[in-house]
Amino acid sequence: MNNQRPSDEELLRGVVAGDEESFTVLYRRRQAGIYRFALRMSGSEAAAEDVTQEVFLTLAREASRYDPARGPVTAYLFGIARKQVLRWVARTRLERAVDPLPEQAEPGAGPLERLAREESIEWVRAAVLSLPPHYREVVALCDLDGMSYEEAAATLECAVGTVRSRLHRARGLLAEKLRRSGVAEPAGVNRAGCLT
Amino acid sequence: MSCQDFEQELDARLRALAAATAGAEAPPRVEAALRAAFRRPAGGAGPSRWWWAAAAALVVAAGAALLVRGPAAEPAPLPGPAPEIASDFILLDPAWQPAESGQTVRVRLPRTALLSFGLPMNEERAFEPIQADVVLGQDGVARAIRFVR
Repeated sequence: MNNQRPSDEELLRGVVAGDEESFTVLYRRRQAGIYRFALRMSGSEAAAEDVTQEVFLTLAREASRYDPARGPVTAYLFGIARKQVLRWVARTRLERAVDPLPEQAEPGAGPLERLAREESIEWVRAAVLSLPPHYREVVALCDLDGMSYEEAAATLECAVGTVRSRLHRARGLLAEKLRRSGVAEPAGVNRAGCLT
Repeated sequence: MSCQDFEQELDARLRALAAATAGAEAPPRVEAALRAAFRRPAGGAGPSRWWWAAAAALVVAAGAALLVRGPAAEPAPLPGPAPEIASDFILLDPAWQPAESGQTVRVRLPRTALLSFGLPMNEERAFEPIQADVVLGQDGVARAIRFVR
């Protein structure tokens, strides 16, 4: 390992060799992204914590199984997280309770503005969580985590075009929910023309 | 309001949601448990050692959240008859003797820990944590574990 910031692949080799420092650096570098993905997919902090732990335990136990030909380390980690979180989503579909978001300090915002903003965020969070998982995950990766279509495609092991079409469809569903919510009812708009 | 307005409103809300969760990350106890687990597999340790290491780390990290069941200075008694259904104690240190000093603590572990000890796990409850009693020696190292349902 050189003096520059080690790549994920270098750290992974360290993990395979049993180097705890490599494991720790890789964990600290990637845990937040994994946790946020799981949180945005599940709406549950407990599930996000469990998924994060399982992802890195799997990494620690099975790092040697990583195949760089199949994508970057991040895609490998997100792939494990995705399997875990989809299992969770499938099992808790009917009984899921969404954890409240932590309050955010907004300097200069009045109580009404804060309330409106919080309601707006809760609305879109509930709307995202109501999407079918294959749409929800592209929103979580691309719209919320800022991944490119290419990165999301590598993570989801699908074609870029699939990511693009799913995201388009997901946003169409969200826009339809937005329209139905009555928050922004347009007058005389051809609804079929909106994001479909 | 036009379709474009809808898209802009949706974008704004998604950006707000992204910002609201941008700082979210796993709590420090996860790193503590993982690092402890990482240290243990050498020396021919089987999967079970991963979990007792994690359990020991959780004991340290969770601190007050855990229910301490006995003073450290007293011999480590195996908990008496409990209302719960519990597995037998599984030795994590083959040399450990129940009469040795130590303490027993109750922790919550991912249910998948059962698999690491070769115990069956209800797939339907895979994401529900399970309680375990961990016997710690005076050096803080886990000696035995049992699962409680």
